[in-house]
Amino acid sequence: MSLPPPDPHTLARPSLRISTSSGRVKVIAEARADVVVDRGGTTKTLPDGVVEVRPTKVSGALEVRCPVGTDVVVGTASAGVELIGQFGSVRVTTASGSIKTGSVSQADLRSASGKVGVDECAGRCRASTKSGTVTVSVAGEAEVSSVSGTVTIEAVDGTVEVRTVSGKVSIGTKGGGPVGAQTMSGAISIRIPRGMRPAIRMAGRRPVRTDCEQGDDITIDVSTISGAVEIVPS
Amino acid sequence: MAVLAKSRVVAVCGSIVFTDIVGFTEFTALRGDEDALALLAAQERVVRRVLPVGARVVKELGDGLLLWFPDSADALRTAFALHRSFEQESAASGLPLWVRVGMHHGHALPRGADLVGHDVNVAARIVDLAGPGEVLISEATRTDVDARLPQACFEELGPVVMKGIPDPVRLFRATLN
Repeated sequence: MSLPPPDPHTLARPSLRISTSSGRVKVIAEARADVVVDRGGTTKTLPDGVVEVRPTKVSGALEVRCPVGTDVVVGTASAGVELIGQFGSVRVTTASGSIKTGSVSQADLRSASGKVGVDECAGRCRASTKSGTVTVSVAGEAEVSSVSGTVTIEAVDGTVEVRTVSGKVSIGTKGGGPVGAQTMSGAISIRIPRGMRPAIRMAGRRPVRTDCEQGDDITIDVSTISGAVEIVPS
Repeated sequence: MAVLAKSRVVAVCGSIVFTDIVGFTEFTALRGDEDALALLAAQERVVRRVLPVGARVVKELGDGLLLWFPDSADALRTAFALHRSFEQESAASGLPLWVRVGMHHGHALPRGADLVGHDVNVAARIVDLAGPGEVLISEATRTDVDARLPQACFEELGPVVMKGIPDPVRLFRATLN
């Protein structure tokens, strides 16, 4: 079951903030009303209602349980971060750890060198990494950048913007918004719904391999210096 | 034993901005040195055009720049103008000016034409977390800009732990309405 996009007019959801230097961070969203730390930290409720989790050790593992739909912010230097369950808005920044999330309403995920993986993002999914791979199973919208890591977006409803330097790009769109993909040397593969006629705009000298009849059902902007480009029906 | 006197250099207060061209090394490998030079020249051309009075290029860092602004609102306004101009330049020249920007407001000590200090280091760490076309700023910058740039939007990314920086830094993604 997916979460709906966040509604700014609804009552504030629970909000959790975690910052730690290193050590694995695991947050589990489940049917409960409070936030508890199973391992490695203590909680403090700030005046604005945000629950802050503070690690008790510099580099120990941290495990936290929170209500379903909680907004989560995690900042860490080198820890891997795993979010299990259904969350609200999620923002994770790590210098070298991997990031993996379950179902979220929207996401901003940044890792300098780790992998980023998202099971399901109802709204906008923004992800950025240098050398790690980015894998998004389902998203409402996607905005992804990588240097050398492969980017795979299996199914996206709306707008997609992907930029990599040498990483391969694979996008599966449902056709609800324009698709943009830019690489320097990475190959680009875009799958569109069968029968949809794309308006393809290509910057660069590489030919686009496509079996699709051209039209104006969906705009696809692609740009590459040396990567192969294919646009195929799914 | 010689006693080192404490520096009498007067610290300057302002906004420290780092820019970085994403994928410059790969671009150079793919397109060659001549095109790499053209890309750097395109970046320099844009920066010189949009830099306001009082701001300066402190130094070039390979494919990046360290910029100094006496005023944080000017710095942010310029960062937006840079991105707009980089996009236009990219479209016109075909050169991928994929630039990211990191910004912090604080103090720095002049060392010749250079600037050194903790706040310079913080700004350098911030740009590492930005994606191409993004402007990331610290809470100090956000606070100093305050309401002086009403067309700017700030999305909090949270407290970020950065290598070598003892305390987490609250970061914001800045965009133009």
